[in-house]
Amino acid sequence: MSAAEALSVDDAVALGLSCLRQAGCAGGFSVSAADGWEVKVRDGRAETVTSTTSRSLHVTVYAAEGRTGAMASGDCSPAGIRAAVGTACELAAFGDPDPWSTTAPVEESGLAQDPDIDDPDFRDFTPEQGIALVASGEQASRAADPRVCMSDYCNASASRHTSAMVSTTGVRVDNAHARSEFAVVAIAKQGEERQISWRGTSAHRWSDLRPPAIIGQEAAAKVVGKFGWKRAATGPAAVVLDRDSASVFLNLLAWSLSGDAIFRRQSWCLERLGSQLASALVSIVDDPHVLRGPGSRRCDHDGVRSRRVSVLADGRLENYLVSGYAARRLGHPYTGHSAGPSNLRLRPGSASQDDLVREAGTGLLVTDWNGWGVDLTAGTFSRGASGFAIEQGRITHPVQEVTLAGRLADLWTGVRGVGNDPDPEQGVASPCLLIDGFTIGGS
Amino acid sequence: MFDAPLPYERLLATALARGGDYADIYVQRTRSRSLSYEEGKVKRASESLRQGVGIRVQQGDATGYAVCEEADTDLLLAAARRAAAIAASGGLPAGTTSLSSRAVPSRYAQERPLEQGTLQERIAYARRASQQVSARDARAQWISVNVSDQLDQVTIATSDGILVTDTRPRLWVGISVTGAVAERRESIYHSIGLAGGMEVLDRHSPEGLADEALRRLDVRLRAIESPAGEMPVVIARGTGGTMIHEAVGHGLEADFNRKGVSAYSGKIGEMVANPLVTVFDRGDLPGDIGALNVDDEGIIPGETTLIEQGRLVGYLNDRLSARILGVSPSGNGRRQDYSHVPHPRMRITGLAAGQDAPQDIIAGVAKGLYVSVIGGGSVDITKGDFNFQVEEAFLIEDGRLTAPVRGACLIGNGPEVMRRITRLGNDLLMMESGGHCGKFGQGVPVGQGCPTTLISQMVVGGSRS
Repeated sequence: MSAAEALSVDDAVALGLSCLRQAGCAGGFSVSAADGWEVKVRDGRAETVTSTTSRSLHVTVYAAEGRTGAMASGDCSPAGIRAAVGTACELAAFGDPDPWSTTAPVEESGLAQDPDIDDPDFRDFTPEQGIALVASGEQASRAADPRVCMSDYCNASASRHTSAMVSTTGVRVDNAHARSEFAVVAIAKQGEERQISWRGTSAHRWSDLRPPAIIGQEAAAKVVGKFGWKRAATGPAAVVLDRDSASVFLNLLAWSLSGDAIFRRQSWCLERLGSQLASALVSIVDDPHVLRGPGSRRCDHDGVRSRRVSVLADGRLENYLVSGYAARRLGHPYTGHSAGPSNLRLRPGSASQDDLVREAGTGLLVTDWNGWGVDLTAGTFSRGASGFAIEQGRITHPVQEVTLAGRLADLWTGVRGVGNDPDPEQGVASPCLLIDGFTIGGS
Repeated sequence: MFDAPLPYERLLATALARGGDYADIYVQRTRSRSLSYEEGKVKRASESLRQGVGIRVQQGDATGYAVCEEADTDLLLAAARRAAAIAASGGLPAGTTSLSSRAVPSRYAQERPLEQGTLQERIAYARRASQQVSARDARAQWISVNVSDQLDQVTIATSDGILVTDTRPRLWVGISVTGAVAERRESIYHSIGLAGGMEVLDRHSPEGLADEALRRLDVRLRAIESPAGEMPVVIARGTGGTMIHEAVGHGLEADFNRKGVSAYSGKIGEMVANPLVTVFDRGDLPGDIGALNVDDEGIIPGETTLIEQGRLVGYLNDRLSARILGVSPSGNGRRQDYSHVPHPRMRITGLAAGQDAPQDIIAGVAKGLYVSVIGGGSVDITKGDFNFQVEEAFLIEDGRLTAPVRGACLIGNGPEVMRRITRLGNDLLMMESGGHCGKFGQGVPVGQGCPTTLISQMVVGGSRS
């Protein structure tokens, strides 16, 4: 395709829709475009500068009785659009009937209020500025501690995505969002021992990024804090998850509560609506409307309007997070979650992390997870972990090369402390948590 | 779109117009097909088509990269100028590159090309596998089978005069089964992935796929909670390749080593493993998912020995690392697709066979864990700590396999664990499960293998202390 043949967004979606209607099929058609750059920086110098622009189309066809076919393509020319819809229709003809495979109803579709996730000044953020931000973050990490000896894979990036989606129900949704970020990776040396850590910041508007000096200092503090580590002894332990590791733990719950996992019976949270899933200290809300929130959005991938959903109230399960298909199949109200959680927030308590450490008495403060060992069907958790030992209510020394294992059902009911420190830059954000029920694997 | 040849020499000249040591053009067109068969029904058939060009300029250790998805000469030249902005050493005379086509070996079987495979054939395969599982085990509640393939056509033009094309066919089959007994519910996943055409389906029958899925489900439904703590670990042949990939493979990628970031930096010539241990990485095993006729920088891969009888002898190099380290590129320059720069990546990584009979290795362990199926893993390059999920394992008691266990993970420090490999079987097996490796946000298919391996002591993560 030459540039001269490129269609406007309006013409492209109009053509896609008319092809679907000519084929006599229900379905959805979208075009999206992305524009952006990424720099990798080392020792204040650009190692890699990448610039990208891309366009693509997606079509999903629901032929008679929900027979489904789909096509994605980078060819957004008129011929490419016609071919893509044609292919999706051909594929759908081989499908089996599925009463739940169809477009979302008009009354559930459309755009929620604007959470301000685009960046009007996106063009003003250049790769050169990204390089300068990272370089000053690197400098700050070295200035913070002489043991920080080098950095690597520090990066900055900016991207802007726009999309327009139409459905044969007549609904059209247009979305635009921008994201900028940078990160500082610090490597530190003490004797023969070397450690690596990173810290980063991200925002829809690049002017909302946190200052590089702070990011660099945080990376330095994190990496030098690992020196002098020991293993912990094998056995049951009280565990404090800091806000970062708690947010990862919360994200596992979001997957377990996804409607697709529920109808496939691949979750430990089956048939639990209305029952006590977690300790009464745990309340969780998914809120897509947070102004400039990291996970904020106006609709999901199905064009279903985004809405605030109560997930757990005082530990009781109120809603799964469902795609349109899962909503129809499970008879669950639409929640607008074909794209996963938006801003999933565990309600903070009043305790600081130090308070939870004191309350734990003896145990482990986890700051990082390593690896994947989670089985959401069986509800078993087993991952590598590192952090700090807790003795007599105080942090004593760093801990590495241990594992933590337990059953997710026991761990969520075992939450006995909720902190007050969620990270506003994370879409899925938990404050620190104090949890009973983990077993340490170590020496 | 990218059907006709592009003006490669002109693009290379524009890319090097401000100077630079090296430039290349990477043109790619990828057609993928996927079939999802669930609950005894064809749920969704889909296809995708992606195509684009990546233009790269290197000067010193710096890289400029620009991506263009249009076969429009003006837009491609603009991309070449964006990539060129990294260099400022002064331009070479225009038109200095004279390209000559290079032939490549043939490492993908393709007895029945993917294009000849119909959707009906893929549906029949998925249906057969699904029916076998549901007919033979009433505990199976949810069965899903996926059949997908990809035809990846790449052309690489380099400023050192190479013009090469490669068409890479790959095919994957995956089966996921969720089963239940009373309140107990478990899911297993089993997959096959190879470089080749539809003959992959002929050689790996749907009945065979169902057999393995049923065996795995039965073992998992009988499993007890995994023990926790340090113990001897025996890893089954084949699957332990994942541990080698994490424990030592990533740490030997040359980008980490030329920068001094890896736990293995500066250790060439040193003993880094038990003398029993020889580790290889190769791109030339026909039909393996990690096989390549040519890497993504125009280099034809062979076999690279990384550790020879415990001694570190080599790194995995892309062009940039090789130039800086003053060695030949080893054909390990790979990228996810045209929108990414290449890095040193593994292809087919493994541990060479030893002398021991596998049953003797197990018989020599009084109390430990036998790991028969490994899931995903990861590694911290700098400290060398790695981990992986255990999909299937058995207790070893008095030299015999006893109860199956679930909910385990394994962690270790790479350099430490490589020294604790104390016995190796004579039963090297390369996996056919279609491995996948992620680095810097880029995924590439990789192969792996190993013989039965004893690690004298390792930390097992489980919930029974």
